Amino acid sequence: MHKKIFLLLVIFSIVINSQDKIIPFLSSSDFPDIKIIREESFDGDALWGYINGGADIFLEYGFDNLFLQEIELKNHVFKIELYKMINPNSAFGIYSVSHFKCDNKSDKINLTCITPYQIQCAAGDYYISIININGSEEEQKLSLIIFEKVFAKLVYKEIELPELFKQKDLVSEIEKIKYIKGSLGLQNGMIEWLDQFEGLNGFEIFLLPLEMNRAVINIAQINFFSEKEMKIYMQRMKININNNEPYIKVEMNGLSRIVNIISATRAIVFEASTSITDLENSVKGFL
Amino acid sequence: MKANFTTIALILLLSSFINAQITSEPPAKPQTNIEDALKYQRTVNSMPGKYPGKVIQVDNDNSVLESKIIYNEVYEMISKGMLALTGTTSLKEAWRQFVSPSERIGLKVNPVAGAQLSTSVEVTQAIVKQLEELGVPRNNIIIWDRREEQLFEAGFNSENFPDIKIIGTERPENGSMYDSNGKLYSLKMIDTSWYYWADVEGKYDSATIPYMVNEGKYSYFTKIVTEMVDKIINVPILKNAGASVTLCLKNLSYGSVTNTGRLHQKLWAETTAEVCAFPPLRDKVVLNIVDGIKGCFNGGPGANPQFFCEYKTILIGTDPVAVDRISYDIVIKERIKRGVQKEDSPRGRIFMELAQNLNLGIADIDKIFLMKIN
Repeated sequence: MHKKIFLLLVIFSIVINSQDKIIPFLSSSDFPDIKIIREESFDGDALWGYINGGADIFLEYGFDNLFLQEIELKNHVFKIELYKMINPNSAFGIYSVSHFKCDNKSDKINLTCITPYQIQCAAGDYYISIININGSEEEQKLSLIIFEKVFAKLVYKEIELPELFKQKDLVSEIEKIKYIKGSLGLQNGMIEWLDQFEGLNGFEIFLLPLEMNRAVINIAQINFFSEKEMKIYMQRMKININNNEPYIKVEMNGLSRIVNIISATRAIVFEASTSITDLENSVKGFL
Repeated sequence: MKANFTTIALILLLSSFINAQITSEPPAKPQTNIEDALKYQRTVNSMPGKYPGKVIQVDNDNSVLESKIIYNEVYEMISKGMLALTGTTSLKEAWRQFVSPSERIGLKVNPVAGAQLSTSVEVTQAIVKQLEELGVPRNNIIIWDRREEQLFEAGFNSENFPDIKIIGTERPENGSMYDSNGKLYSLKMIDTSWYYWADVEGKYDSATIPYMVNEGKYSYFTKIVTEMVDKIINVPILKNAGASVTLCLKNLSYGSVTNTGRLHQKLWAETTAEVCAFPPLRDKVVLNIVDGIKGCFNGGPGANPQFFCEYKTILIGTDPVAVDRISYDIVIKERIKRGVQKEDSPRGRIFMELAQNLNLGIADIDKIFLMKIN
């Protein structure tokens, strides 16, 4: 009996380990006519070696390694970048601040953004980017085939969003949610909030800018890594967390905010450049 | 009673201390050796050069056709810009104000984002051609950056630039970054007598060190700027870095010193300005030509194709701060137009203000003379 349990544990450990060590490079078994132009992987800070300052945002979000391949297929060149981040939030975060106006999305795979020159995707710990050179119809078609091959090699766990964004009216807006962590995340995802978080390092923001009643309302859950950081933020934003009301209403610098304190380190913030009454009416279903 | 008063006083003191901690401003910036740079006498070539605060912007809708940069058009744009900058009617005379045929001239390009988002081969070739027309022999021209491999990837190779030296600080020999004693070849390329010191420690693993060259608190200047060139023409590409830009000053500073990884987080703006205040850069960079034919408005400094755009412009000036300031406005305007940013944030301009305080150029937009040419 013990032997069987031991054997099962060994097998389980091998399976877990092999998931950790996925090498998702494409080869001739995927495409018989593939030509590998470049194949490299970069671990940790070595990402600076590949993209210099461009590495900073990946490192800020939490980067594990990059599998890079440049391949030639049917006389077209493609660059495949598979960033393994430290967790699904980090991968989703990079995806969320790196995609913009998507022309299309995969009908089979969630969190994909397809533009003529690039396919981007967040899948569990992975952020995928496939770039072609000319953006031609043929290259776009081949990019999609390459993407599906790479994707099929991955073993991953879906991102777990905060409860707020699982609500009926918000769950379908996942593509618009930004996950922000750190100063570069703010610079790329919500520059207007940079001052609010100046000097704070321990925070993460799930942010959904949503048009409601002809106004854009920023709906955010902010998780601080310590009570002290949350206090600094609340003081800056003139939010009295000792207020006994179910939620706090603040107007400052032409913006209205409604804040729902969930715990000593977490808060939900609604922000809009409307009156506080209009904001309250728009978001009362989420309060 | 006295004890109670003391207790209350202590509690008040402690409470005000805790309050001060909570509401305190961001921690002070780490110290640097910028004072060392300021000890050196300025020369006639020191930044901001012959034309402080003057920027020429040459726009040309025909500079790109079906995604391809048209060499003849960019050659013409640079010619027009040089004449407008110098106020001369002869192109040779214009160039002669900055360089002479006997000098070794370094073209500092930005190749870090691959062939699609680097200083273009066409713009660089047009500059080379105009230098040749002045009489500069090709073997007096060097195209350089930190990373030699990236230069090749971006198209700076002997095929596109025959007889021109293409070199990086971080470079392999015989296919390896290390010699038989396990020492980085790149160490031969750095000049330890010139350094930017900052109170931030760089510590890297074995995979990263070839890209940083050294650890610790010192960032050494490359011999390319201290020994190998007499004059530098700075040729960055027009692109953003978050809600700021990575242009003239950034291209020079981060491209000229080692051990930069440690500087990004706490001293990005300071490094960008301060490294340029050291004589190897301050006194050798005579011209800045921003390749704004193709660029990006977001996703920079990395290459993210959906943010690529065609600005179809070239900006020229001797003042790197003024050129950055004008270029910054172009990028921010594009970001706002495309909806990635609502309004300009003064934070993006901090590095230019620091550079202005170091007398490297003019960041105050009201004091910049911008001449636009079509």
